[in-house]
Amino acid sequence: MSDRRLGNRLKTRRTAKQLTQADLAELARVSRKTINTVENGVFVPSVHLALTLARALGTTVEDLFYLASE
Amino acid sequence: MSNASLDRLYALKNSTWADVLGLAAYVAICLLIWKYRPLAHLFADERLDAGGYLVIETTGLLIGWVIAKMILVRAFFRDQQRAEHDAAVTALRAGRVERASLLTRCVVQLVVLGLVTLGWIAHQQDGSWWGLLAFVPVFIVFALAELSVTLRPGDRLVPDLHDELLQFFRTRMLRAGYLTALACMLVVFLATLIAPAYASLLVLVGLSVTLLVPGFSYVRLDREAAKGE
Repeated sequence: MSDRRLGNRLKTRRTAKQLTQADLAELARVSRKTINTVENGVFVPSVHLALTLARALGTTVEDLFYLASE
Repeated sequence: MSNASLDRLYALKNSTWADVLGLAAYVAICLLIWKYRPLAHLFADERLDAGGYLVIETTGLLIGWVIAKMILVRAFFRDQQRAEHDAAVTALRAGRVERASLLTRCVVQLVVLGLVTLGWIAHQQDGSWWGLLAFVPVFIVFALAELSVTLRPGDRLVPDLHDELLQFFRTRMLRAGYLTALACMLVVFLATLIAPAYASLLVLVGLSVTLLVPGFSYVRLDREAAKGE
């Protein structure tokens, strides 16, 4: 059975842009806790939130998120 | 400080004193009623035991007090009341009003459960319904309030319904509540086999636990989410 977990590079991309979680939260208009839980893989965001985060970081959803099995 | 600010400050202080005096008067009247029991002396109806009169007296006093306070506020503090109401509505809409803490909610729930238990004990001892009649509706009100916390989780009284993280928390909280409800039902079923007399009371205890467990789940999830940078 394939691994269905969703990996993300949110922290890497965020720190590359020298943004704190609070900064990104403000850009994406969500709470800092939301950013933290997405980064830690606790919470899988919706397509809408994934697109918002990608836009806030100036990248694509495919760049931010990937299937752990890949 | 400007004159307007001072006026507001004096009005606030007067209002606070009026509240303290009002509360003291209310407690004094309560104590007098509980000591002299006017209804019990006036109408010696056997259908209403002493507890029944006490419930009627206390409820009557509460209703009378609320009406008297409304008239008093309308007569003397109308402008201030309107300003406070507007400020409260604005704060509520802006999501600035915080919910009571889980600890406070637990204490309230346990106190109400204790009162229902007292009513239940009185019913078991002398068949009196008054305690249950008085406290079960209060229990239901607080149970519904706790249910609304589960259905609309968050630190604010009016949480953001579009917050995806809160929706995720709600899913976890409902799962925790569902599992607790199943466990409680099993315990109540076993209790009916061993001590059927306590089954009805255990249902209420189980309901309280089922309502509070999602609250604990929320606090745990929220703390976990707050960790990080």
